[in-house]
Amino acid sequence: MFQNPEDQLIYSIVEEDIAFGLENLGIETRRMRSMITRVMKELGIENLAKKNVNMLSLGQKQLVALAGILVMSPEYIVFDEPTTMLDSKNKKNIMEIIRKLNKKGKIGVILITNIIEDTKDSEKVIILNKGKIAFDDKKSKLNKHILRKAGLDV
Amino acid sequence: MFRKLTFGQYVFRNSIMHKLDPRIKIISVAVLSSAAFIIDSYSRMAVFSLFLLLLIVLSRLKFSFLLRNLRPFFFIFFFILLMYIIFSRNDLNRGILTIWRFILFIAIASILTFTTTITNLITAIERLLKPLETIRINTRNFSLLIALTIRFIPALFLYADRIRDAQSARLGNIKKLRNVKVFVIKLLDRIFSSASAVSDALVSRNYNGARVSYFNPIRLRVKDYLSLVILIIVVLLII
Repeated sequence: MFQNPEDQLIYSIVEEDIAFGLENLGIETRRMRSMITRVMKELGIENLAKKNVNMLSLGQKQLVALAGILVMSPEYIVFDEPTTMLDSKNKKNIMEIIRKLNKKGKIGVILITNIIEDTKDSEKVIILNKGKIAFDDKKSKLNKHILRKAGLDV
Repeated sequence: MFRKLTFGQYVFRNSIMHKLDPRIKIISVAVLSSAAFIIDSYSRMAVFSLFLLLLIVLSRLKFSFLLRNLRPFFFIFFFILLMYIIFSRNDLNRGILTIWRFILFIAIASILTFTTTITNLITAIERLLKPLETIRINTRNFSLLIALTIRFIPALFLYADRIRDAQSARLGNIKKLRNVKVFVIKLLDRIFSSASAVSDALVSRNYNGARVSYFNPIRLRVKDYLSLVILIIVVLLII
């Protein structure tokens, strides 16, 4: 999942956009509807099903983009700075959903972020500094000293 | 501003037209438009118009709706009539017939757009162009292209508005040529980075140019074939 919600939505109608991945995977038409409804319910966006994509807020667009990925039942998801363009309320909402997906949904999460607090629940952390890997280890081994060296002190 | 956000004139109704396969409707539009082109006498035009009226009623299309579609063309109609009156008064019949044809074209197109969703139209185009696959044109790419364009047109207007606002706050009058150049460059930059991001998104959703299944499938039934045959027979009888 990418940073700009605007550029992840392909079709004009929400439920069609969510179905895009399923169309590419060759899922039979009759199974698509139930899969899409389930994912929309999980993310709390069933009421947006027939809406035009241009009329959604940024937070809603990001949720629709996430739905389009979840509906393909992935084993793990790479999130590329998913909250950078969102306001704080939506940031919290998305991060909460990502955590839930990992803990309850058993979906592997690779999160790319510039907010150190987002690594709160991570098992492993990799820090990049000036194009090089400055730290690549279990979260528990991370400390303030390493963070300061990487320029990430809080 | 809000109207720019949505595309198409489809309104949900339970009419016979609404239930027809979109491919048949597109072919019918071609047949009807050709007929409107060929017909030359007032009497035949009248019969043809009556037939169209029947189709309009069958599609539950309201006349106020049709009038709204015709409104942008009233000035052109007036202008054409004026030209004929000034320059070739004895050919006035031709002028009236021309304008009548125009109105018929718009009515035919309105029936199509009123009874068919954009999605179905795009799927229909994709299937109708299937024969082009023999010369290695990928129709799935083509229909995705159309859908993406329709999806992004309102968004592009928004980008342009935002860039223009940001610019006028910084550079002042947008009308100076140098400011327009900056505006265009910024807009193009935004569009290209958007396109790059969208292609990443396509790949992440498993798109590989092949069409495997449909969320909104279209299917040809007996009544679709029958409608087309009846239409062709009626049109041949009229012309």
